[in-house]
Amino acid sequence: MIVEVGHFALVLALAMAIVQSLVPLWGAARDDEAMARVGAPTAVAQCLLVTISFLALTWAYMTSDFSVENVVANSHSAKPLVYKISGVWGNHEGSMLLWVLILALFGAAAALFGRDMPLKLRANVLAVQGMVSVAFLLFILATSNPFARLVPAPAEGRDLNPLLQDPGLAIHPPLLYVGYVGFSIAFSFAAGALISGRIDAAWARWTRPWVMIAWIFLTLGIAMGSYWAYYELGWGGFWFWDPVENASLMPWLSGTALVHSIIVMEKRDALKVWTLFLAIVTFSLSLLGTFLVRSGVLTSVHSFATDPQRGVFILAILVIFIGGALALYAWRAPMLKQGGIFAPISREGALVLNNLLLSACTATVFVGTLYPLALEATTGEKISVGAPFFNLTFGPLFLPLLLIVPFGQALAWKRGDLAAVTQRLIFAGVAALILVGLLWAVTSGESVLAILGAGLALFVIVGSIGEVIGRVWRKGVSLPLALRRAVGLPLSAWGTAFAHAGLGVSLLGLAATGWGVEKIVTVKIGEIVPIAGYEVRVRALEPRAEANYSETVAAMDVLRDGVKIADITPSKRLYTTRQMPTTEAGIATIGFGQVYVALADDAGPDRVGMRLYWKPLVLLIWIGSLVMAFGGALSLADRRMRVGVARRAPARLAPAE
Amino acid sequence: MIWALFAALTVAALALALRPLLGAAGGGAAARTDADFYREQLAEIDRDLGRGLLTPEDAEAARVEAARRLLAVAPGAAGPTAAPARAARRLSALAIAVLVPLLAVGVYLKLGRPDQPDLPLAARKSDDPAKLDLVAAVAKVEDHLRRNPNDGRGFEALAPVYMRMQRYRDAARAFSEAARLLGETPDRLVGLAEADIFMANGVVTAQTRRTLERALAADATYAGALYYLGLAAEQDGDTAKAVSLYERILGSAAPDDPSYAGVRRRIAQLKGGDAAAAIAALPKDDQQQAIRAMVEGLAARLSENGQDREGWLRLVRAWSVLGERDKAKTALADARKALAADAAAIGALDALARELGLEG
Repeated sequence: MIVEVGHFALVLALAMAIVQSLVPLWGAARDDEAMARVGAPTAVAQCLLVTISFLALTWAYMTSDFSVENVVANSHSAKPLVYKISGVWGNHEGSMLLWVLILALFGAAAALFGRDMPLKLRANVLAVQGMVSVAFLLFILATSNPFARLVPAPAEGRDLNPLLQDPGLAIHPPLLYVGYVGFSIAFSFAAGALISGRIDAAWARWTRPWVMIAWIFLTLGIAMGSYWAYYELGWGGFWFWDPVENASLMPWLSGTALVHSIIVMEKRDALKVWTLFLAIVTFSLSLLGTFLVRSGVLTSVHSFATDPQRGVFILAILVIFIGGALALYAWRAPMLKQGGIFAPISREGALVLNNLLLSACTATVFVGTLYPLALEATTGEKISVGAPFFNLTFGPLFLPLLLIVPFGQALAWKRGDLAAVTQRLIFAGVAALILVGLLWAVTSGESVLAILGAGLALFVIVGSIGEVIGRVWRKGVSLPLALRRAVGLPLSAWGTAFAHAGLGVSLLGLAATGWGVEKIVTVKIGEIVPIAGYEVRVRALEPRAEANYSETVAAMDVLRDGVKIADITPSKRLYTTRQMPTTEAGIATIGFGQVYVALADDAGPDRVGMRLYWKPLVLLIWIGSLVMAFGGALSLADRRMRVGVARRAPARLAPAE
Repeated sequence: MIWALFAALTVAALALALRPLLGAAGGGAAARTDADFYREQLAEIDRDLGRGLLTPEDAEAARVEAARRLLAVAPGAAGPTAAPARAARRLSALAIAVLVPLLAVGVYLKLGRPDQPDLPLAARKSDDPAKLDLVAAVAKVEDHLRRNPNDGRGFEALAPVYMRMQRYRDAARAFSEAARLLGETPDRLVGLAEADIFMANGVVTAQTRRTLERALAADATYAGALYYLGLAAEQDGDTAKAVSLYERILGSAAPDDPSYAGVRRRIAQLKGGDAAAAIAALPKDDQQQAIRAMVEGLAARLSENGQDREGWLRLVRAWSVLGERDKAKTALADARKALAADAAAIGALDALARELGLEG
């Protein structure tokens, strides 16, 4: 009964979403306040209903209800409870339900927190949000119903793909989806403003928190996904320029541009039309990512052609929403008033440059991801576009962007002084040059790119943090005063500094991959393999059996100077139900670096084949992302974001923010 | 019960959605404008200042900014006004109240299974045998074996059930566990071999062959082992060896035992080409026996799947030729039932019945 209640709730949510997308729109168009007010309660009702539905499916998973087809296909009664729960979104149908749940949560949140918005805008925003819900609820019910029943029920499920039986699955998709779907609010705000035909005074202020939340979660989601791939797939890589990864990178790049341009709009009332466009593009790229991942088009263009139902449906959603929004944009945007003028050398100018470069990066990834698909669809030729393409195109666009980050942060609004800023950044530049020189001497000029990358990373870190320090301290200022000033500094200034420094930290981790060491060896038990100043000793090989898999575990010691510093247990697993082997890497963290061991196939009873890596500073890649997200959270927490302080520089010490 | 829940959900959702439409016209907060927004913002700045969330300088700057924008707002830019349009409002409320339940119930009836109860695994494994279905029973035994992996009897009981459920991999594991724990017997070994052969789509692998040979070493006349080894020899192309193995099966059987008809036929085929020739080569009694076995096989097949017009026609004719008029008539009646929807087939059956004189 619980299952069927969940099913009915989902259908009822569709009905509510239809009301939500029609009535407020009509009310706003004919100035009927009561009808315009219908948006908020229907958004809340829709959210509650989808929540009931999601909980019902989760319940079916937790109790191993094999009369539900989706549970049979993706669960197993012997699976640990946490993976039964995360299994809910470890498959197509369930993950779409999670998608719609997050969409509905954002819709309800916008309805509840948007009480002080002009009613007309709020009605239009919620109506557009409702339309997105209608599309995806229809998609679920028509092509991917997680509540389909199976009679008679089999005794056991087919188990979840073992690669997904990992804490990573519990965390990664929800984070990523909050990011993806969070941009729907920005989209709805943009479409709402375009429908109203005017941008309300505080549009940017209302939209920015949602964009910020989405960006924070998308950042965390991508970082989490990358770390998961790193330790779970056993290849030792963390980013493969795989279309699925690119699908999440594209909205992140344009979302990053949006986070910046919306600041210009909020503070200076400029770049309005461009910001609306970015809001539309960012969510469109989220939709595109959903299409790429969910239609099966990536497995093969041909498998898509033989079973096109789902793909065609999402493609239709894509065309209607992107096409509709862009048409609306083309029609309405010219009517919007432009505001705020600024000199080319200014904070705004730097942000425009940032937006240009980020847009170009997005376009690069877009082409690299879709061109092979288009080529295969039209000529049948299969090509693979991988790291070499992106290193040659994405790299040259992204590196200059990093170079201007500290400059943009230090420039004043409206009209900046480049010479003064450069003077302030000299310290960071010198620090970077010293690092490059030192590294050059130590490594005798090997891996030039890594050295230059590390230098650039240090420049970004020192430049970002230094800018804040420069605002609170200089020679002659006492420590207590500096501290008081630091506390008085707006949180958003700290947020900027942290986010930018995080970028530098990630870059440092990426640059350090240039000094990584890789070895492929086969050793006897007891043998010692040296790697980059450490040693790995294989202690024993032991078989082990768990409820839903059996494995061969290699117990190993990591030694430094003959002294044991860590225990690792890489293993090869065989998941019984699916007869699918997986490799569990053994990872020892030493400082920010890691010794990473992945077992190869059986080499014999007392021999172990393995791939060994020393990955210096590798953790910085993900720590940097955390720092970035923390910066975003600081900026989100700033009270001014809500009351809107745009203050003039009271003293030379604290230049205009 | 379940429909009461559905109704409650629907009513609750409608109550939320309809409230703004049914409330007093123009009630609640007045329409908000940009000017209202800035006025409220000024108040919020004061509140934040009071709570120490903003420094006085920041608050002053924010006040100036908000006041500047407040002045800039055009006085005419008002939001939607509460026009007294009661009729339209009532109409839309009525439309929502009628269409939402209609849509929800309509779509749900098309997709849902309101009669289908939840079936959590724990409930299916209950101790009440009346509630236990076969699959749940298997799951229960499996669960028991996971905790007591040395219970050979459990594996022995489960193995043939797995075979019937076509879970050959599990069957092979259960047979080999039973053999390991309780000792190898020809039954267990041949069971294991059979499961392996089904898993390999009928191919007898070298390892399976060794299993069969162990079974044969324990009991030199074990029919199952002889049969599958014969199959292995056939797959090797060694017809002579296959025939000699099959003949060893017959060696211990009564010459007219019908359960060995299949083996006899196979021997005949291997010796002399196709089935008809093989039957012709048999002694008169055996011939009759083999034909009967074939016809009975056909009848059994048709009783399982009756959608085979040619099969029915052949069956009716065969019984008639064998002099079994009653069986022919029964088959005719069964065929008419099975093919009732197929007018052409009924016509053909009628014609055949007339030809064979089975009518009346």
